[in-house]
Amino acid sequence: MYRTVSRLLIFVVLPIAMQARALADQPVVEAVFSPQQLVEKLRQGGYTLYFRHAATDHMNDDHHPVDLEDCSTQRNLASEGRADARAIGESIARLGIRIGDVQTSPYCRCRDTAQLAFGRHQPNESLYYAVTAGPEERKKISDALRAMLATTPEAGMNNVIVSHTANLREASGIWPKPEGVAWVLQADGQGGFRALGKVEPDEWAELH
Amino acid sequence: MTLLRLSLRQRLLAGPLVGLVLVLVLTGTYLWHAESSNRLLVQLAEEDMGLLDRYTDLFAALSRQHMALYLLLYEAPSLEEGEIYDRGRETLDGIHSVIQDMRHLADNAAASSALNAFDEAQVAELTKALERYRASATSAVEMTSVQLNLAAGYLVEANKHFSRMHKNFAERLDGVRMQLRQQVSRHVIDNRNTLRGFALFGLLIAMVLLFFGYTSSARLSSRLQEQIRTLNTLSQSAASDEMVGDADELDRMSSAIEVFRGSLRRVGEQEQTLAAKNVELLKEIDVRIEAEQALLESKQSLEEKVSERTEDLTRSNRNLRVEIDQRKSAERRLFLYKQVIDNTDEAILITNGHGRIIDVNPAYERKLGFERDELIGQTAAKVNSGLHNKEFFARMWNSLTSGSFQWTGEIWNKTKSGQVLPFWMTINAVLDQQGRPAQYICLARDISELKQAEESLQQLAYFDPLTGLPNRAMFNDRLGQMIIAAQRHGRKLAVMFVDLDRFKDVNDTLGHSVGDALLVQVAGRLAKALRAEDTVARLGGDEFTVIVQDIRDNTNVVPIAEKIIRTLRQPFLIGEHRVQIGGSVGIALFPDHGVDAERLKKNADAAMYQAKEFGRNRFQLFDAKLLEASVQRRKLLESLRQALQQDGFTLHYQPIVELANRGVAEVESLIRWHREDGSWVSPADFIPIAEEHGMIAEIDNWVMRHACEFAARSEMPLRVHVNLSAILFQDPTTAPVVVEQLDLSGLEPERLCIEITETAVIGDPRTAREIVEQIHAHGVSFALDDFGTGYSSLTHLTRFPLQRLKIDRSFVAAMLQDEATEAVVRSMVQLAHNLGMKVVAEGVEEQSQHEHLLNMGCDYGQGWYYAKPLPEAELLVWLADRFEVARHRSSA
Repeated sequence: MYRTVSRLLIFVVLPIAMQARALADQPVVEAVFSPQQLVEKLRQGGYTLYFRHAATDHMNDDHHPVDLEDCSTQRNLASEGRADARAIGESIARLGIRIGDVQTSPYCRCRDTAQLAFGRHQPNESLYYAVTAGPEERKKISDALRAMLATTPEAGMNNVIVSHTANLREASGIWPKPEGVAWVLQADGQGGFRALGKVEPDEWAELH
Repeated sequence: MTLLRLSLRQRLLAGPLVGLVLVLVLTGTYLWHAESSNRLLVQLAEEDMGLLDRYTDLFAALSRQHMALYLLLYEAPSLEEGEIYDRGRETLDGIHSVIQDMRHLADNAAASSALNAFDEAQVAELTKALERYRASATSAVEMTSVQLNLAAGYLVEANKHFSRMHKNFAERLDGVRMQLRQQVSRHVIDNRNTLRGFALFGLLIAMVLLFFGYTSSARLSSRLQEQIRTLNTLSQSAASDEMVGDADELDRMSSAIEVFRGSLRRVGEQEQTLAAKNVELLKEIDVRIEAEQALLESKQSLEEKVSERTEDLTRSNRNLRVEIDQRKSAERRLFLYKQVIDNTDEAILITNGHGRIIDVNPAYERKLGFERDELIGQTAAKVNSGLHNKEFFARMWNSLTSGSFQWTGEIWNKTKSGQVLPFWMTINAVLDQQGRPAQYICLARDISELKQAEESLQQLAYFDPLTGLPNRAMFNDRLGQMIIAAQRHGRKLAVMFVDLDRFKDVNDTLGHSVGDALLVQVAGRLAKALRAEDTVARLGGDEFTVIVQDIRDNTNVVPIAEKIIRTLRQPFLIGEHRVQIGGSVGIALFPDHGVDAERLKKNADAAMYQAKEFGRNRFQLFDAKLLEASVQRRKLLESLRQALQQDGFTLHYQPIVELANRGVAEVESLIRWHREDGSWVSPADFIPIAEEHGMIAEIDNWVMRHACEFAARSEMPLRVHVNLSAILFQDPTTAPVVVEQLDLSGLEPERLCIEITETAVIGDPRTAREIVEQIHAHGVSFALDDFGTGYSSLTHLTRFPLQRLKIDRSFVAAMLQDEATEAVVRSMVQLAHNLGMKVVAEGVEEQSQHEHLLNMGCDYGQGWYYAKPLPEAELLVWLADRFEVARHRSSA
């Protein structure tokens, strides 16, 4: 009897439970559009662009704890990343996509990405890198991000968020990859949001 | 003792009660102690060990997370980045919670038990290490999701931190475990010790209690036994019943009480009989009380009598005391008086009314040499010296028995040894009630010493102490007596005044001691030269007088006078000095030259002066004419003294004229004495007298002073000549005096010339020369006066520093008449010039003399021809005229 029950637990219930958990973090609706379709939508406005920061120099990692005022304690953009950020910004401008708020994580790499791309940015504490936070704080960050993503921008405008992998993963289950990728999200008007698709950094140049 | 107030039962219970209390206390303390140590152990087990367990659990959790990290990395290649992140995040959360728990534990631990697994510093360090580990773990996770191949490095780093932490932690834990073990064992030992202590203490208390119980019960039982024994003895004496020895003590006690009961019964019977007797006694008492009353009354009256008597006694006692005090003070006074009488130096003799000696004092015994016993009962006749006559004693007796009842006077007594002593005696009679002398008190003072003193005084009064000759007083006395005697017998007597010639010189040159010795020798010689019945006396100084009595006429006197002179002329040897003096004797005869002592003395004195005047070393009989002269002389002397004191002299100045050109650069000062009556006294008259009477020094000083002052103030640079007498050149003070006069007047020494006569050098040429040389050394020049007339030898001329030679006037006067004199004068001038001296001719009165002298080469002239001595004012006028004339002549 005991052996049966335990085998049941281990081999049946546990995987389901794990899957359930995994499912719990997925967004409500996931539709995948192509980058070109996304651009046309963006041109009309009302979406949120979640950028992962551009390519960084992987040789150095952030110091833990990090000094947000001092970029030398962080993993910063590589020259490649900086070029990507500029290019993305140029492309977005060329494509006629109108940008409203630009909010970034306080990390230098995110700020630089935004500044290089859009020439302006607004650092936001709640976009702090989630991986370094403890469980309570992480929940707070995640909730904050969810709230931001559930906010509809100004008509015809798109809000931009430049932040990290962990944050989006926590808030939506999406793992933004690679560095510099932009996910397009839309608020569903009911306090939630849905992900519509992503544009990788080198795809912008070919879009029209 | 409060303890004794408690009842027996309480006392017996006290011990066990106290014991019980102490045991309870002990048990309670032990239980409490055991409880607390239990608690401690429990705490140890639960808290401290628990704490340790929790720490260990935490670390196990951490290890699990660490392993998960490794697992993640190992499986990462086969996972999606998102999945990697999810799992990594879980591990990080696990690490985070471990850190939280650790911190929580540390806070709690600090607040709770005494046994800390880690102290604050250690906890802080651990937390820091954990943070470091977390950092590297975070980096590892991060990198695993970003660039997998780089993640391993971070993991390695994390591992490093982890193993270090692990090692640290393990060490700490071991240490803590050790600590705990020690604590426990210590605690166990403490416990054991405490238990032992308790046991001992309990035992002690038990023993104390036992002892206490034993002693108290022992005491009680002993006392009880004592009481029983007492009772038994009492009962045995009360009854003849024998006690059963084996019976219990309490039984014995009860039987004893029985016996007592019987005794009590008997006592009751006896009481009754006593009561009856009591009544009888009461009756008797009443009788006695009455008797007592009577006694009391008689006692009272007795007491009154006694107090009366006591008062009387006290009064008479007081009187007695007063009398005793009086007696005592009288005794003291008597004692005092006795002391006085015994110790006084006055000899005291006490006789009865009949003159029988009843007492003498020690002084009397001493003075008279008799002992008290030898004198008592005797009369004063015992000490009779035999020097007083009957009348003396009759007068004494009279004085004592009537009138003043007292006698005072001098009386000579004979001592036991035969010595006769003078006493000054005062005798007082003590009268009885009838007014008759009952006793005579005689005080006698030994005045032998006094008498001796009187005698010496007599001596002093009448004799000259130095020579032993009669003095002036005695002489006068004798003279008076002898005059009377001579008158009575119709004889003559002679009074001679003897004055020693040159005595003053001797005194001055050889000193006073030599002078005194000389006088003594003179006295001796005079005495020897005269008869026994003649008198030699010393009147004072060097004046001696002689009274020669019983002579018939002058012719007897002369040989005596000559003898005196001869004996005085003989040289005297005094020490090593050979002294030669002489005597001048003046003789006055009685009754030829006077009939009373005064006249005779005066005439003899005058005669003596005459002798002196006639050349000394001779005698002179009085001549009335001489008296006049001597009186005159005395007057002169007196006025001379006065003149000296009152500045009665003046100086006149006679110019000394240079023969060649009639120029005047020098003047000689000459003293003039203008007396009050207008007469002038020539220096020739008073200078010798002054010299004789020692006034010459003063006069010469006066002259010197005034001459120097004159010269100093004269406008013309005159040199002034001053005559000094010879005597001054024997006096060593002369030179300083001269110098002083020069200083005082301010005159340059070169303007002073001192004139000395040849006689100045006769005395002691050496002294004279020294003085002259001393004065000359200051610049003063010297002139030899009256050259040619004195007893000088020409060697003196060469020995003395002389600048001028003055040729005596006698030579100048005879010069023109007598060839020889003229030759002498010429040679004098030559001599003077050869010796480097200038020559002054004195007494030039005529033109011819002046011319002759000029021809002879004489330098200066002085005399009436040129000018007589002039007072200062006239001199200055005379000089001015001459100056005018000279100027006139030279200009002409």
